Amino acid sequence: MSSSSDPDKLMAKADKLTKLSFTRWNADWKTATSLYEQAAIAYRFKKDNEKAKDAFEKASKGQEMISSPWDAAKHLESAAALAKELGRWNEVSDFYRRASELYRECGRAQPASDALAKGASALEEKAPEEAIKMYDEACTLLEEDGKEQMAFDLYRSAAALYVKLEKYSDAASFFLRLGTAADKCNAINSQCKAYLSAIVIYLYAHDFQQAQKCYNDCSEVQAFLNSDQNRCAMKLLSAYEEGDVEEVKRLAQSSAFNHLDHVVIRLARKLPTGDLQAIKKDTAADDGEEPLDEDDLT
Amino acid sequence: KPKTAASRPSQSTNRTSSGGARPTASPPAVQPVPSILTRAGAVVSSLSSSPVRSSFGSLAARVVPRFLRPQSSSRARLRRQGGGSRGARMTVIDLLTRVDAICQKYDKYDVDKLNGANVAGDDPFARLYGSVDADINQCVEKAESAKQEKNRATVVALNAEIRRTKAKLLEEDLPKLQRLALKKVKGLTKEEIAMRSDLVAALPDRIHSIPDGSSTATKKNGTWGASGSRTGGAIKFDSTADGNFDDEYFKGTEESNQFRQEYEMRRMKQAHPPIHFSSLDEGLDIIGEGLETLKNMASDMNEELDRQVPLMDEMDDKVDRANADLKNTNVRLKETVLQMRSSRNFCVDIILLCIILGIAAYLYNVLKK
Repeated sequence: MSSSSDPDKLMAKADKLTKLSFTRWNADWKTATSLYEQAAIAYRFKKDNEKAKDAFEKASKGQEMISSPWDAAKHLESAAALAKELGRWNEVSDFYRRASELYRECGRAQPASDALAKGASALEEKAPEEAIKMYDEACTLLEEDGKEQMAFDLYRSAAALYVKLEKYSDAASFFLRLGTAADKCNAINSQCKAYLSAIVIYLYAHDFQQAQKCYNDCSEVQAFLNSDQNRCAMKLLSAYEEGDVEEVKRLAQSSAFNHLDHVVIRLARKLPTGDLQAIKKDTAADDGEEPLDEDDLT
Repeated sequence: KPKTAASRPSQSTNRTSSGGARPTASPPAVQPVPSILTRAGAVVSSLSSSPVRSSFGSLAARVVPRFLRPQSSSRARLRRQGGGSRGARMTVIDLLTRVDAICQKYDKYDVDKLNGANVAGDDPFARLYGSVDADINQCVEKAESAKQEKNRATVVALNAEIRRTKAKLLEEDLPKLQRLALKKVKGLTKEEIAMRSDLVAALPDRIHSIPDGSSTATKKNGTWGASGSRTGGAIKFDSTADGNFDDEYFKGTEESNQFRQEYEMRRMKQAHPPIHFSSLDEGLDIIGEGLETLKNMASDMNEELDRQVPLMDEMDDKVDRANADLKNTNVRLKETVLQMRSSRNFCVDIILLCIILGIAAYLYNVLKK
């Protein structure tokens, strides 16, 4: 067991152990792995990120070879963190994904989704599309495993990212997914907040019809129907229908919105967007046709 | 029984002579209400009109049996005669006593007695007026009990109820009454209608005069409103909130005058309700917001704890398993150590040690020599 603290030497030794050559027919992964680990830690201590990252990668491979996916995944995560510091974004995503797969091999969904979530948050700035995908996968993992309660934060971060990317309908859909997850876990408050956030996003995106539809769908849910958020949403939508800008502004400042996600609060404060009169005309046009129909029926 | 009959006429003569004033003694010993008895007097005075007498007589015939039963049989005889024909005993005085008793029992038909004419009570004005009157009386009673109440919370609650009723009366019932008062009802004279309008006009004053604790509180309202907005988050809900103050609590300083002006200005700015709610409303709003924050935090905590429960269960299982493993290992280790240190091995060790020492001593001796 070499106790020399020189990581280069350790690495060289380990490499020799693993490389198959004429004299060596089986690679001795066990010792090699431990050598790699030591080297990696030493490199990290020396702040030599590049070499540390490589060492971690190799250590992880070694762990895989000795069929301990858990440790392998752990090493990959460390490697990914170092890659993040180095700024190798594609490596980051690679590492985190592989780590997540290894965790899944172990049968542990929670760390798997955690790994993906870490990757996504690392990539939020640089590669938001990739980050969104990772968030999505993380959420799906947990949903499949039936552990949606852990997924709430993920949903919120994903939706926030979408809002940043200005993809409002996707953001709203994520909130609705959050609502469904909350429903399963009987987390009424989160559910109602999620629905209200979805409605706010639709309104911000100036999509009144969608907001209405969303509201109608949500009203089907008994828990939402009895909540404060429901009343708030009702008032907001009726204010929109009447085209009352002052009322909308006043409602948006009201305290019911202060407990939502801060991204959504920002959107709510900016309400109303666009031309309320146009919305009024649209709704009036729709309503104008309907009374005629009713007259026909009666 | 003739004595009672005799005594009653003397009493009733007193009554008729005094007209409105009432002694406290009366046959069924119920609290007399002066207004009812003036009305009773009015009823009797209007007995001259035949339709009244016949209707009253039929009423008397119906109700008198119910509670003049315990009284003398002479009455029963008179009853059978009916109210219309006045026998020798059946004087107006006796009629008055009967009316007295009936009125006290059937207080709720006050409204009918008031108008005299329509005893059946299908006059909407009369009904509404009756209900308004009842509400006002209730409010007065509540105000009385509020004055005596020690517990501030109940005082506040009572005052709030009084205010609510007042608002309701002023906003809903009063216009309706005014409208109804102007309507011409069959069988009423012009004087009656005028009387009705007067009654309705008198109502607002009566309503406003009900003490609901806000009249003295208006002086303090300025301080409360201003301080409420100044302190903002610091919700001071001390006893200054209820309005049951004597005047001596209020010391008019310049500051409080200023506050009052500020309060008045603010009231002018907003559409002020007829009853001064705004300052209390502000305070209540602040409290409401605080409570809402608390509620949100509490439900978030609730959800978080729900999330943690399965994790804790998992951890519990794992720790239990680890614990069992550890116990197992410990036991085995103990056995191994015991074996190592078993007395047999120990003795063998000692013997061998002695042999070695003996050999060493022998060699030493040999070498020394």
